[in-house]
Amino acid sequence: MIRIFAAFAILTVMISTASVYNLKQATYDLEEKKRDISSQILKDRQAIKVLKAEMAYLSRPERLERLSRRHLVLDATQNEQLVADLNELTVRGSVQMATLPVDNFQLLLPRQKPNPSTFKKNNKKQKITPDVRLASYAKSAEKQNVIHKKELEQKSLYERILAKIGNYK
Amino acid sequence: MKPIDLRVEGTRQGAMEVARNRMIFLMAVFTFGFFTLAIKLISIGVFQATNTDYPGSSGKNTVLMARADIVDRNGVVLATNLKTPSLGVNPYKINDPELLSYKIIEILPNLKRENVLENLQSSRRHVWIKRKLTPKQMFEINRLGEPGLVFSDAEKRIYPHGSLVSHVLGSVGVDNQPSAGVELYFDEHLSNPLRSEEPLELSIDIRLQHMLNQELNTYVERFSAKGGGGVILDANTGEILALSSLPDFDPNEYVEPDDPSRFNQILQGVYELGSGFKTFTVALGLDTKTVDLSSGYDASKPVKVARFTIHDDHAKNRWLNVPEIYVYSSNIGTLKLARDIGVERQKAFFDKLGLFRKTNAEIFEVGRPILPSQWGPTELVTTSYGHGIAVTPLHLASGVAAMVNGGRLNPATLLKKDASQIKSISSGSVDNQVISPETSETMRNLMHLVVEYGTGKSAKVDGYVIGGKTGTAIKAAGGGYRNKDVISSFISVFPIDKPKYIVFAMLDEPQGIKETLYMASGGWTAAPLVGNLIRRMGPLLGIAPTKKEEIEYESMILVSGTE
Repeated sequence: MIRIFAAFAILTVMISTASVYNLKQATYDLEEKKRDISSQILKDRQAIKVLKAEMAYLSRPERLERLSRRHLVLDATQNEQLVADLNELTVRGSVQMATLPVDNFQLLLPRQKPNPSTFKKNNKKQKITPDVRLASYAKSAEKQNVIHKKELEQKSLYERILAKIGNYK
Repeated sequence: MKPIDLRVEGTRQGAMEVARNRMIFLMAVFTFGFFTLAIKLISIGVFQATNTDYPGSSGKNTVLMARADIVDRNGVVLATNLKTPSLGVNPYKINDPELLSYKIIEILPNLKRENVLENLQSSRRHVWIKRKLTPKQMFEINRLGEPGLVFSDAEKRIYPHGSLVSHVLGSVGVDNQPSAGVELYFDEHLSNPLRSEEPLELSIDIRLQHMLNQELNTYVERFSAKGGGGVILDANTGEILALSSLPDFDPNEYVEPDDPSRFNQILQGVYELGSGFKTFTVALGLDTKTVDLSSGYDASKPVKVARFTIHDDHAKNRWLNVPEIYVYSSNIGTLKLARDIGVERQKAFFDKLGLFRKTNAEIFEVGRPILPSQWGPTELVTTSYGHGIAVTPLHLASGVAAMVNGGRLNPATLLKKDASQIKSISSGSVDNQVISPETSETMRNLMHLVVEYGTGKSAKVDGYVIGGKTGTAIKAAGGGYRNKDVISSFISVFPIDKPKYIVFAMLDEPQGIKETLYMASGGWTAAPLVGNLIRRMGPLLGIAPTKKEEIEYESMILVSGTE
């Protein structure tokens, strides 16, 4: 009996010693990591500050003006390039919008979104000129998009109509 | 294995028994101890494992930045603190000072080689070579790989825009102690280590500031003026969007506190601003119903007031109605109007406009208005057209803002107002109402007339409807006036049908040139400046051009070719 007990006690001592050591080591490692991260954050913040100051310095209006005058064919915007109202663009009396704003309809059924798979096919057929490059997205972003689309499709037509009516109220 | 049974008989049995008992007791104590330990371990390992909230993990680092940033209304950094290394040397560790001095000179070209060499051969243990290096210079020095060169960090205040916003920001000294501007006024915020992450947001828009500064520079040069100043104010909130005063200084460099370039003409300088004040007199006349638009005064003969004879600069030599008095900037008409208003009402009105006290701008150096020591009939007359009373240009700008924005006086501020503050302004208390909204509407139309037909014609901008008033004040000097030296100013409101911005510009002692027929008055010098500025800032602020509508009270003005 006493031997079993002694054996158990020794085992307990060993296990607890090991776990204490382990715990201590883990904590130490974490502390170390934390200190590293903290100093990294400090460094990064410092770098961000330097970069912000540099950005402000490089985007001084005076410098941008000089650069744009030298490198761009564009000139400063003139006020006649701005339009306050559609009527100002034509000499005809008053202009009516060709399509009425959506809000004028009591109930408007949402249209099915074009299927992404057919979309892709069409896209492939289009000839891409060498000058134009398609922007490449990160894979994760693409995945998210797909999930989002799936979610949209899962909603039944009835639900979407309900949602639309809900919007009007 | 068979347990061996040891048996001790006799007297020894008792001793054995005691020993065994002690052993059991000891073991019990140890077991208990280890059990507690084990339980504690398990509880730490299992139940508190997720608790990672040790001090510093939520960590704002307060050691990093000693002084908070200053940003403009769009978040562009105007002032920030950077760690800048200073280069020192331990001469005992240097083997070849001659060679090293050449290398250092190559990296830091504005040092003198003799001085560097002297430092490198010094007998002291540590000598400074240069304080506050740029990161690039530090990199280059590090690349030399010389163990005798040591860096130590120091904080330096950096103003990326140089002299552009100098008069608003002020500057700091060697140990980052503020010496002027908002740096000094908001030192409590800026130097508070707990708020070092929280930038001070100014109402300044750096883009407008640049335009204002550029136009002022151009016109100061064109008219060989001694200086110039300008301010752009939000007409409805009182925010100062741009404020410039020439000459200016670079806050990155040390400038003597009493250097003339430190003088802020818009906030600090007090001037007799001249005809801009007619806006106040006419507005008061209309608001108190002393006159209406169709009444007027005879301005055909100069008037004698005390020892002065008062002429009109743009004399029409006939009877003028109120719009004409304002549009042609008639001194005679204005002073007769002021006489009808009376001293008491004029004084009370000026007081309400804040002309008797310092402006609220958040800078300690703001100028105190110089008021006439007594307010008799002479002062009544002269102050009505802006002489005999000296105020800062900001006084005039915020006063005119109140004349056109519906009659509410909003104190000018250098701090960005957030949405809730702007809301509380528009919902507005009554106590800052200085004139009625109807009078304000009339004043807008009169100011528009000045630009269309009167003295401010050269401020006209195609596509925009703007209003304004010129001012040409003869500079006072030593008790008298120097007839030649003037301060020409133009205060403008734009767009006039729905005022959003007040633009003020002034030139100190401009000299007439050939193109202006050797005239240096406000209409010839400051008005085109403001016109140019509005032409440039309008599209930036997204203000769509307005078609010219029928101009109110146009028919009341008799336009003649003489100007």
